Formats: sequence, structure tokens, C-alpha cells
Amino acid sequence: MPRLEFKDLRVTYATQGEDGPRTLTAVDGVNLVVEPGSTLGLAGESGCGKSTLAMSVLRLLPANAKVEGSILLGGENVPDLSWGRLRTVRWTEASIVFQGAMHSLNPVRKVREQIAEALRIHAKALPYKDDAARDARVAELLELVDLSPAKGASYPHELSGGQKQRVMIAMALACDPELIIADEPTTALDVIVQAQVLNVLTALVASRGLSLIMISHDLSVLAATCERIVVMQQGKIVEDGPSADVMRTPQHPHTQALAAAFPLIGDPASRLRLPGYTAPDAPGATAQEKAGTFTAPDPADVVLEARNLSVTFAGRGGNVKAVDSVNLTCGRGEIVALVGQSGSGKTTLARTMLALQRPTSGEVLFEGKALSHNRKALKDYRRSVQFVLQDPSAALNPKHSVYEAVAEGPRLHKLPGNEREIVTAALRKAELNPPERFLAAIPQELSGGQRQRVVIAGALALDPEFLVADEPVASLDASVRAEILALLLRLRCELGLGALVITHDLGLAWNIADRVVVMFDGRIVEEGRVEDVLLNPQHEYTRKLLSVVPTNNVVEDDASVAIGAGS
Amino acid sequence: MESTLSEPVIGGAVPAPAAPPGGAPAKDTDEPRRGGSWLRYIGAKAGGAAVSLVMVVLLGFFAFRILPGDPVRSLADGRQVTPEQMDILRRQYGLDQPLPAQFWRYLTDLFQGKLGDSYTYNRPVMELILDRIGPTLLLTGTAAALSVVLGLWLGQRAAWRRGSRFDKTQTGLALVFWSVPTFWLGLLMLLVFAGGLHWFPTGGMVTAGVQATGFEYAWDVARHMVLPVLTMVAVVYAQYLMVMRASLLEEMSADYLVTARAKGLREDEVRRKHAVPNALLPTVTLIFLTLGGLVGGAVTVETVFSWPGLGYLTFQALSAPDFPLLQGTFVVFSSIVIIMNFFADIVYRLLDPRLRAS
Repeated sequence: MPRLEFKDLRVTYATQGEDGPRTLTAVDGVNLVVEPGSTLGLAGESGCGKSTLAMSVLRLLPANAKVEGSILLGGENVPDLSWGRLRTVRWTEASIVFQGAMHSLNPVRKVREQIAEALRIHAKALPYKDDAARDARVAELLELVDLSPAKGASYPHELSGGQKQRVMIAMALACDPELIIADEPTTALDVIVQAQVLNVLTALVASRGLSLIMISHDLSVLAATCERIVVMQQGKIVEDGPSADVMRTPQHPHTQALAAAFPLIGDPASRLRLPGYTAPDAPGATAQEKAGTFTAPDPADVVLEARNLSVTFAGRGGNVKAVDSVNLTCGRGEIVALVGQSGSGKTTLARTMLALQRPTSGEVLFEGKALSHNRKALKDYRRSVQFVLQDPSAALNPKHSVYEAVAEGPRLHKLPGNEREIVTAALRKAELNPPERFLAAIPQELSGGQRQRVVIAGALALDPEFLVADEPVASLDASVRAEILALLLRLRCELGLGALVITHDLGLAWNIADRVVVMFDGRIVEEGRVEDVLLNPQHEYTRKLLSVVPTNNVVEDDASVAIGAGS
Repeated sequence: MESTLSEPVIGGAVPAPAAPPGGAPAKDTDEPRRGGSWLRYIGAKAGGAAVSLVMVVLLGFFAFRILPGDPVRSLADGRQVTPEQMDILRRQYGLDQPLPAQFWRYLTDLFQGKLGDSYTYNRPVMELILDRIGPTLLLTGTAAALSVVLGLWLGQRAAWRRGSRFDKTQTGLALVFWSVPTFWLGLLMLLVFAGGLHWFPTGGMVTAGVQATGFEYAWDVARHMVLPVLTMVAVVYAQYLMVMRASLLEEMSADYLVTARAKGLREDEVRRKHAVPNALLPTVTLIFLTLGGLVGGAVTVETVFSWPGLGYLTFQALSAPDFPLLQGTFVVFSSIVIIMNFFADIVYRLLDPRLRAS
């Protein structure tokens, strides 16, 4: 008997559209079998129905969801269960490691109590009858996930992201379920922490012979943890096969797009090349791709420079040096990737270079002149160097139309020329075609990728000399990620617009950057041409970063050299 | 199945980060920092409260000196007084002294726990206030407790069943009561339940001329309290309902509730143990802030029902006008608000572990 079986499952949501009630199909006729002890990866972009599918297993869908077909969990049909039976099944037969442990733990209760709660509810079925037995079990669970039992007395906010996610895993294991569903367990975590969490999870699943369904938008994470991968698109399964086959020879175009979004570092086919755009100076660019006027960026022509820059924050228990004597140059028309994990000081460095944060010592130079902090000079500077933020949904005023959002900058800086023409030209440069269609739209009506294009158009409208982008694709879907990166690459090649891109994603650096700068603990530990740094890292920290990038080993020869050198 | 599991899956297991060897759990790279101490927090908040108290004391003196009108003249209102008698009165109340000297006396008196003498009662203001503060605390305390319990309970029920008939009628009713002027509602209550139906006495705290003791006395006071308490509750419970409802609605979409449900909790346990404790946080601050205001708000209700409390005293002081008395009640009312704010800060930090870090 399979552990879990979906038979012709359809889930629809009744929603209120502009023109009366509508039904939205989230899962559309899915058939899927999960055998006991097997590991299955479920891939797809946001909105493809993968989370709905996962939530349906424990009947956790919102009230407006309608489920047709059957979900057999250990032989029982979940939609037919009584409430009492359902509550017993929840957590004892299947448990879930939720996405974003930050919000999935109750902020005002100690994590120990939250784990023990699951044991208490199911006390009838479990050997942990009294508090002492439960406390012992909680301590045991915490040790399983590499946390000291003393950590149990912490509140969620006192734990780091990785620690919280491991608490979630401990909680999921509490009642010894047969099936664990992990819904994007490592999204929003740093690469190094992500590797640690994945290790803990896969080791526990393997040692206990549990079944695992892992949901992710990142195929390489799934390839590293699951035997089999299923790809979903628009509620349907479009590809299903052993991980090796899906990764090596993806059949469906959607799978190919997902795979391409996470480039293999060292693979020349993804260097300065994205689906949809290839830079003229990419390795092996065809004559047609080389056409047009393109002058390779000259790192000696420095636009933006940080000289011996330090930023210190006063904190309890001493000062914190967020940025420590950093020297950094960005050439005209050059894309520089600033990589490092969270807390490395990369965002503080970027904010200081944008004059949003005053340096404690050192200076920022723009076109050779030191930045002054008088208002007039700052205003001119901010016109020349534009900022693109991480989350376009938060960066755009939800009440402003696209036109307003883009026109605000030129209006503020009193740019000469027809405002409407400036706006449409900027939208066109950001590839929002035809611009007229987008002028009146408000952010809510746009997709994530379109919103980020509007943010970029707002920057382009001021005809800047340079861009600073903080994690510009971190909040976007895989296929959209490729589009936005292609846009940044195209701006570099066609308009000669350089950018300082802050990222934790080494694949991004490989995709579009000319140079890469690695930051660790407020210092720059390594910098150089992308090919040099990523293929032949010198600093220990760079190697560590490279070693935890989940890889798919498609291009055996090149990649293994690259990764081998890193580990 | 076993064998496939033990094999490294494609691409190899994700390599372990460079964690220190050994069985002890690794120190995590992204370990957050621990929070600050209680002592510091309370010290800072108490300091702020003390500064506000000083400002109130200063304001209490000067605000009533800029008011127009000669207190001595209004004291003698309607009577034949000679300028000599006026001078005697002035000297008696120290009004012949220059302003700085008066202020100095006010300050030195204050440090000895004195607030001057009332013009109209010819008694120390402190004594009057101590006499009246008990009834006020009884009245407002009862009203506050009832309205908090009622408001929070209705609020969380309304939120949990959002859009139901219960939600709509309760929210509507509460808002109607909230919009009604206090004195009007009080008069209406008097008219119907005291004047018309004779269920309750019309005013005061005890029946005049009756020397009851013990249980009988308590019963008499309770009967007198019903109408003023009801009036106060009706006017204020809406804000607790609305805040509780809004903050619970916000919590209802929180991810940790899905976690709780997935663990197998019953729906009412999800609400009681997870949603409500979180929704209470913003509500608690509001409760403490309004409690201080409630005491001040007693002026109208106490006047309408002739309740012998601070509010009624203030009203009488205002109509005299009796400056030392006004000054005294002003300082007392303001101090209560400041102290309540201070408590709000402390309770919030007790309830929300996240604040203990900041």
C-alpha cells in the first residue's frame, strides 16, 4: 500500500472577481503515488499549485477551497475523514515543515512548549504520558536537529533563521510520523545555513526510513535531496521521473526553463548568457549576437568608488563594525556582484555608497570627486546613481499608477523634456511593451516581474550613470529571475549602464557580472574577474560559499573542476 | 527502498558546512544577540514618567494662574464686602504674594504632601481628594473591569466569526453606544430606570439619612452604582471590542495558526492558545492607556449621578472656581494617566517576549 496517493485530484478556489464570483483551479487532475520510504521533490513556480497539493494532505486548505478526487493517506481517504479522526491523523501520520519558520512558530511561546504541545495533543497514541516524559522527548528531538536542549527555553525571535527551521523539523518529527512534507524549507535562508538544514532533514529522513515530499522552486535543492522529481505547472504535473533524468535531460520546456534559472557555475553556456539574451562578449557568442555597437567595459574608468570606508554601529555590548576599511571600485558599464551571506555588511556598504548611511570614516567618490553631504550635491548624486530594491511589491507605492511611480523621479529632479515621453521611453527600456498599456496600471495588477521592471524603469527615467541593485531577483520566480537578469545584462551592453548588484546568489554573478567582490564580516576578502574568483577561489570563505551551492552536475567535466577546486 | 535511501542521491548529499567537529551542537553562524535587562528598561521608563510628572506639576500651577477672573471676587460673589475684607481673604490664601513666591509655596507644600486649602470648602485640598478618591476608584474600577471583559470577549468572538450576524450586530451596537454623548445617556438612564421605573436610586452613593453598616451598606452602595457603571461601560466598551476584533483578525491569517491546526489542535484551542494571546498584545496597551483616561472621564458621569467622587469634586471646583482644588484634582488625574502609561509599558514587555530583546 502506498504511503500517499493522489487520485485525479482537483482543487478549486471560489473567489470574488471584479465581475462576480469566479473559480480558480489550483490543482487540476493530479495523479501521484508516494511509496513508503521514498523521497519526492515537487518543483514549480509560485501559483503552480504545489503548496495547495501539500496542504490538501492534512486538509489544511482555506474554507473556500473545493476538493474533488481522493487523497489516500495510509489507505484512508482524507476528504472523508471525520474531524476527530482527522485531528488524530494530523501530525501522527503526516507532518509538515512549513515555509518561513519565522512566521510558522507562535512568537509569544517558548519553542519547547510548542514542540511539547504536539506530544500532549496526541498523548493517547504516544508513550509520552506525563510532563517529564515529554520534556525528555523534546530534549531528544532538539538534539536530533543539532540544537542544545537549553535552546528549548528560547522564544522564536531569539533563534536564527536556520535554528528556527530546525525547531520546525524537530516539531515535525515529534510524533514519529510516516510522512514529512517540507514546503520550501530553506527558502529565505543563506546558502550556508540552507545546506545545514537540508543535511539535518535528509539525514533524519534516511535514518528513519520516512517518506519525504519536498517542495521547492529550486530544482538543484530537490536534486540534492530527493530520488524523484515531479514538476508542476498550472495545477498539472508536466514532468515526473528520477532526479537524475529530470536534471540531465529535462523533457518539458517548463522544466528546462526552471533548470536554466539556476546556472551551473563554470558552465560556459550560462556565462553572460540567459534564455532570451546573450551579451556580445559572452563566450562563444554568434556573429549575430555580436552585432551592434558594444564596447567592453573598462574597469579603469571608475564611476563609483569607496575608499577605506568604515561604518560602525553603536550597539549594546560594544560597537559593531558593519563595514571595515573597504576599498571598492565600479567601472563605467561594468556589472560588479557583491556577494556574501546575510550579516556580512554588504547591504550597509551599498547604503553607504548611495549616501543613505554616513560612513564612520573613509569616503565615497563619484566620478573622482568625494561625495559632499550638502543637499544640492546629494540630490544630483542620487539622480546619477539609482537604487533598485529587493522586493518590488514593497518598493512601489500600492496607490500610485505605473506612470506616477516612474514620473516621480523626473518631476522631482525637474528633468527637461516632455514628462510623458520620458516615462514611456523608460518603460520601453525596461521592456514593458507597449508602454501605453502599463501607464494606468497600479502595482497590484502587475506580476512580480513586471513590478520589478517598473522599479527599474523608475531608475532609468533619470538617465543614471550607474545602478545599485540590492538582491534584485531574490523575491522573484525562477523564470522571471532570468528575464530581469537578462534586462540588466542588456542595459549594460546596449546602454553601457553599469551596476553594483548585491546578492547571495553566486549563480547570478556567473550569469551577468564582470567582476565579483566577496564580503565577509565587513571586509572584502576576495575580488576579481568572475571567472577567476568563482573557478579558482583563493579565500577560504569563497570556497565555503561555493561548496554549499547545490549543484546538479550536468556538465561533469567543467563543473566538477570548478566545485572540486572549491571544496 | 532501504538500499536506495542509503545511497547518496544524485549530485551527492549537500556538503556539510564547516561545522566544528564533535557531538556538541555547533555555534551557529547566524546566532542572534540576546536582549537587554529589565533594570535598564524600567529605569528608562520610570525616568520618562518622572519627567512627565514634573511637567504636570509645573503646568498645574501656571495653567490656573493664567485663567481670567479674580478668585477672591468670585468668592465674595453676591455679598457685600469691603476692600479690607478682600485684602484679608487675599492674605489668607497667599494671593497677595508675587507669583514666584506663590510658586515656591506651592512647591514646598507639594513636597510635604499638601496641595493648599480649598476656597469653597475651607479644608485642605489633600484631605478632600483623599475623601473622594475612594468612591471614584470604586466606580471607575468596576466600570473598567466590566467593559474590558465585555469588550475583549465580544471582540474575539466577533473576529472569529467575521461577517456573521453576531459580528454585525455586536459591532453596530457597540459603535452606537460609543457615539452617544455620556451625559445624555446618563440622563436617559436616570429618566427611565430611576425616575420612571423606580428600580434604582437617582443619585449619590448611599441613601440619605440611613446609617447602614456591613452587608446592608454594601448592598446600598451597589444599588447606587448600577446606573453610573452601566453608563460608563456602555460608552467605553466599544473601543476594546474594536481593537480586539481588529488585532485578532490580523492574527487569524498568521502562519503559526496553520502550524497549530496541522498539529491536530481543535479549533477553539487554536483560538484560545495561539491566536488570542497574540491578539491581546496591542489591546493591553490600549487598556492601560484608556484606564487613566477613564478616571478623568468620570467627571460627566459622577456629575449626572451626583456620585461623591473626584469627578464631581472637579465639577464643583470648576463652577466656583476654586483654584487650589482644581489644581489638586488636575495633578491627581494627570498622575494617574502617567502611572497607567508606565504600567502599560511594563505589562507589554512582560507579555511580549520580543520586546524583552529591545
